[in-house]
This record gives sequence, structure tokens and C-alpha cells, in this order.
Amino acid sequence: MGYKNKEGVIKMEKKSMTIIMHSGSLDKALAGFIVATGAAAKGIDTTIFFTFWGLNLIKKGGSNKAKLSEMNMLGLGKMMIKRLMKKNNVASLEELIKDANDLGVKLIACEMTMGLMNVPKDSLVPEVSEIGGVGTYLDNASKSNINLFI
Amino acid sequence: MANEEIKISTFGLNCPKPLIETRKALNKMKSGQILIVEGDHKISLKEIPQAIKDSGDEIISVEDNDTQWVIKIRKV
Repeated sequence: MGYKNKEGVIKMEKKSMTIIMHSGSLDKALAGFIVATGAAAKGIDTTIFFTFWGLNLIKKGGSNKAKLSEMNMLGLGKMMIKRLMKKNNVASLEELIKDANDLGVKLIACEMTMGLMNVPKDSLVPEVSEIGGVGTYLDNASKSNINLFI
Repeated sequence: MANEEIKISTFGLNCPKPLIETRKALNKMKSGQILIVEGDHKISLKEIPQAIKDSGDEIISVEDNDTQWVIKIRKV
């Protein structure tokens, strides 16, 4: 966990994590943002790389439109889950995105899929800190302790 | 004001909010200040002290009153 420096003081080794957010589904995005915010709260440097359907989550107003990956039932399933989340005091996706930003989670948008799916930079939420490619992701991932694909 | 205490409530909040609110509060504090976190989310009673140790901050005390808990943290 830690190591001693020259003065004998235990320094904590900084851990880091990356997530590739490929899915734009509400349930998967929730799982991803819960892990990301939890990690950041534990002092782990966290980066989320948004690609393909995941880009929809960081479009302005996009997180609100995310559907369930299963049992969406034309939005009925999503309505039920949202009601249950409120009842159980589970944070909404919008709240977790804001928390992620407050805790310094880095949000990177994939440049290639932005072009492919016609997502201009100005359509993204201001919390997106960087636009990058696979090299940017791998620079982060190769130094990280935890790498997830969602 | 190094010994100033700051108190936050996480009553009713579910995973991972108690942990997030604890960290957000700590991030706004100065070194040496004390954070008192109160809540009733059972798992967070274990997970908050672990997260605090991971980041190198100091747990002063953990009080578990069965239905609710109080965790005292010193920001390093």
C-alpha cells in the first residue's frame, strides 16, 4: 500500500483506474459512475473514456435520455427504476456525473467516434476535460491498476 | 483555525453517496481540520474508514450505535 520516503514518513502509492464507457444504457452508466465516483472518493485517480453509445451520456441533456439495457419496455421499465431509485435514495445519473466532476474524475471523449457519430465538441457537457484517441486511453490505462470496459 | 470541526450528515443516503460526500467535504478542508460524518448506511461504516486510510487521512474515532454511526476524521 505505501512506502517510506527518506525521512521515514509513509507515503501512499497513488493508484489509478480507467473505464471505457462504450454503453449508453442507464443501468450500465450508473454502474460505471458509481465505481468511478467511489474510486475517486478513495483517492484513486480516475479517467472515463467515452466512445460509441457512451458518447450520448456526455452530450448536453443526453444522460436524461439514456434507456435501460434490459426491460426498458418503451420507457416503462426506466420509469419504474427511476421511481425505485428515488424511493431507495440512490443517486441519479445526473447527480453522479456532477459528483464525478467535483471529485476530479477526468472525462475524455473519443475523437474518432465523435466524427463517426456526428457529435461536435460544442454538443458535449463542459465537464468533458479532453478529447482523445486510443493512444490517450492507453497512456492512462498502461499506468493504471484497474481498467474496466462497460 | 486548525482545530475547527466540520460536521456533515449522510442520513438516508445510499451507496456510494456517504463516501462521496465525505470525500467532497475533506477536499474542501485544510490540513489538520476535523470532519465529523454522521449517517445510518451500514456498509459505509466499514467503507468510509477504509477509504480514509487509502488516501492517508486519519481516523480519530468510529462510533457505532447500531442504528446510526459517527466517524471522526483528521485531514492530513
